[in-house]
Amino acid sequence: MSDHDSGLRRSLILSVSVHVLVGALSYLGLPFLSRDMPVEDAPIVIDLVEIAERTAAPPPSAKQKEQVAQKVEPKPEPPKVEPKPEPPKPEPPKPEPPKPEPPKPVEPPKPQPQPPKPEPPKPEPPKSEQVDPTLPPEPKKPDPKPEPPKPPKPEPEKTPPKKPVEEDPFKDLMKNVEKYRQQPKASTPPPSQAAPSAPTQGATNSANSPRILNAPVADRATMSEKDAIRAQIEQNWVFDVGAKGIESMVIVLRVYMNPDGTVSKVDVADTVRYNTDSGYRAMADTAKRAVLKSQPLKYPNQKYEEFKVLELSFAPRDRL
Amino acid sequence: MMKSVRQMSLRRMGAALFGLAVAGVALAAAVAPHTARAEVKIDITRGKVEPMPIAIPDFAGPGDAGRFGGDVATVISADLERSGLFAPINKAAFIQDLPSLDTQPRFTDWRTINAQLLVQGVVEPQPDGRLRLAFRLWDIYGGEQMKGQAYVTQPENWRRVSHIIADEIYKRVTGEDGYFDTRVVYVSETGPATKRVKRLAIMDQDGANHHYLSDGSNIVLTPRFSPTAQEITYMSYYNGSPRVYLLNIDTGRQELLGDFPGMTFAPRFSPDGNKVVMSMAKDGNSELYDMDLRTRRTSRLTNHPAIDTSPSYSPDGQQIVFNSDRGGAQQLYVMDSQGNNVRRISFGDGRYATPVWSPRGDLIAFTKMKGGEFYIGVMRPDGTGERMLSNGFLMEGPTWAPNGRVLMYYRQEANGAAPQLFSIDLTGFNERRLVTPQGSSDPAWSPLLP
Repeated sequence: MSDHDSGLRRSLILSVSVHVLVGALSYLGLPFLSRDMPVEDAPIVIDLVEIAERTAAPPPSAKQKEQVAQKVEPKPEPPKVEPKPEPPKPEPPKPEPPKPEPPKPVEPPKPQPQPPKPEPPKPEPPKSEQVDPTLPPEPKKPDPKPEPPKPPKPEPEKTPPKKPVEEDPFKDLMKNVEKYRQQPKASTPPPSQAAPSAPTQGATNSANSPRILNAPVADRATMSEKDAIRAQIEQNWVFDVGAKGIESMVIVLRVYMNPDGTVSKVDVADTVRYNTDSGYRAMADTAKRAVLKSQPLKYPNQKYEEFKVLELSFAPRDRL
Repeated sequence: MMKSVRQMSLRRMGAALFGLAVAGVALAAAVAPHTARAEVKIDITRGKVEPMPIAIPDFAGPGDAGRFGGDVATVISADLERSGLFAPINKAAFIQDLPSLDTQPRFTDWRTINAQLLVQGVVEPQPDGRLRLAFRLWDIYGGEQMKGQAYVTQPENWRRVSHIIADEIYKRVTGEDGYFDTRVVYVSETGPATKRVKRLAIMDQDGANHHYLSDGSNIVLTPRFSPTAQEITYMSYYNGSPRVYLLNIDTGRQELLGDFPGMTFAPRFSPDGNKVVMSMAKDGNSELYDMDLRTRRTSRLTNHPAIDTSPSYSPDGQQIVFNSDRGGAQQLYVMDSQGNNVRRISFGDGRYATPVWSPRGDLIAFTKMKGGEFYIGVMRPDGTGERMLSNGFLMEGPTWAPNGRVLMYYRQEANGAAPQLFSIDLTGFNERRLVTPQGSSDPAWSPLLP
């Protein structure tokens, strides 16, 4: 009995150790398997940016026209840069088809066939900072003012001079007469009023509906499609720069969309704060209003599954 | 026997491993689609900065009461427009008429004229002769009511109730308290520059209900409201020497504050209304003192050979900002309300004066003199973020609206014309003149009326 027993044990040990050995070899050493095995224990996070075949990111290009003078690649083709991620290829080899060993399957998470987009790396153009002042909140002043030619008043139209040293992004959204006076108003480009709104709108339309619809892309949202929605909503978002604490406020909305692009529901993610902080509620309302006013949202209809729930985060940094 | 046990345990082990593997796969399967199905995330960082279009039709009402309807809408409309944050839409553009509005707003009609908000109101006479004013604030795009409220009042109070309604709308939309149901006290100036008559005057924030509080026989300066808005402290001359007084607006009773050996000036209430802080000058040196209004006990806050003046409390009453030339040029300093821990906060060139702590707490407004010109500016209480909102030949005496959003001050031109009051948004836009019957200086904005 014990003989039989020890024999069995020996064979069992042998079996187990051979399996382990084979497993280990296949994992670490077997030359024919290791040719291009990526190093697995330190997965590299890749920003996978998806781009429609015909990328027509509308808002950026329109804007860029105005600011040619500025830095940043003149090519309105933002995609060029990040697309590095092309090589999602390398991943496939990872399968450990070698052995149907048991221990392996425990670490499946590594197979990141498509590292989820970790955040749109926004290949956006610059941020038009102070280039387009559009209209200051200045409503028509009633001005029965007796001595009209006030020096400080006329200036506001002028864009704040280029000097983004700011620790405070909002400085540029507010007026500082001292700055105006120090910098002769000569050089700043004229407030190109009409440009931003009209063209963007047009571009958005044409970019979306026809072209992208036909594009044989995967069913995931591309940067250009997101940009189109972003542009649409930014056109309709009106916020108050002087609101208290606005520089640190971020409003996250969850938007439920119908297939036709209309919005069935908009939820503020942080309902607790929405119900207790009146300033937060006021800004969240401006964001909701922007979404509702933008209906129907333009998106490629065959990607409804992807677009039916949007998570939008609103953080005012700049004026259109 | 043993073997079968072993085998069983082995088998069990295998099963367990298999189970684990299955679980792992299942987990992977559960996780993968989730990440793949993550919502589309979009960051919105830009928008427009412009007044919000709002439609304010006349308040509907039967016959006699109805005549208030248009006036109420006009006052509300003017208040909101003056804030610079709202753009009331011309009534001529309205599509939906009053009677049908009473049943239900047709949101598409209002969307057509680009309104984002709609104020719908009624004025109804009550059996006892009073009026009932009710309003609803509608969000046109959301299609829902944001606020609704009713007030019953004597007919002669319609104007004040209109301001209160404007405040409610402002608060619901901006998230911050309004400032329309407030008053402004200031120094009215008449006569030639060499022999000017200065009288205390008071009016509603929009210039209505103007009247004088003093007859002009004594010069008055730097009036300031108490937190209850019932009292004013100011400086006037007594036996040829400037002294700080306290005046009750309702009773007209006036009293000299404190029995100081020197002249006292630049008074200001503490936020709880229990104390007044001021300067007292003697032998060419001026120091800050506070006085407890209940006990009339005074205590000295600063002790420095330099000139310390223009004290103003932080909204929590824990700190005081003032200006001093202890560092050479006149600059702004902050200290604890007991007078300890003095630190300088302004470091720009030029001279700084008349600091006022915002009721909102986030900014300190001041007057700055530099290069032969005057500026009205703001900075954070730690001295950062200095910004100049306006400038001119002579401008001084900033005072905050009670919500800390708007500043009022006075401005005088080089041609010697009488000074005038102006207001400006803290963003530096929307500067407007406040029309007064005569020349005007030294404005002080009241708290929201109780």
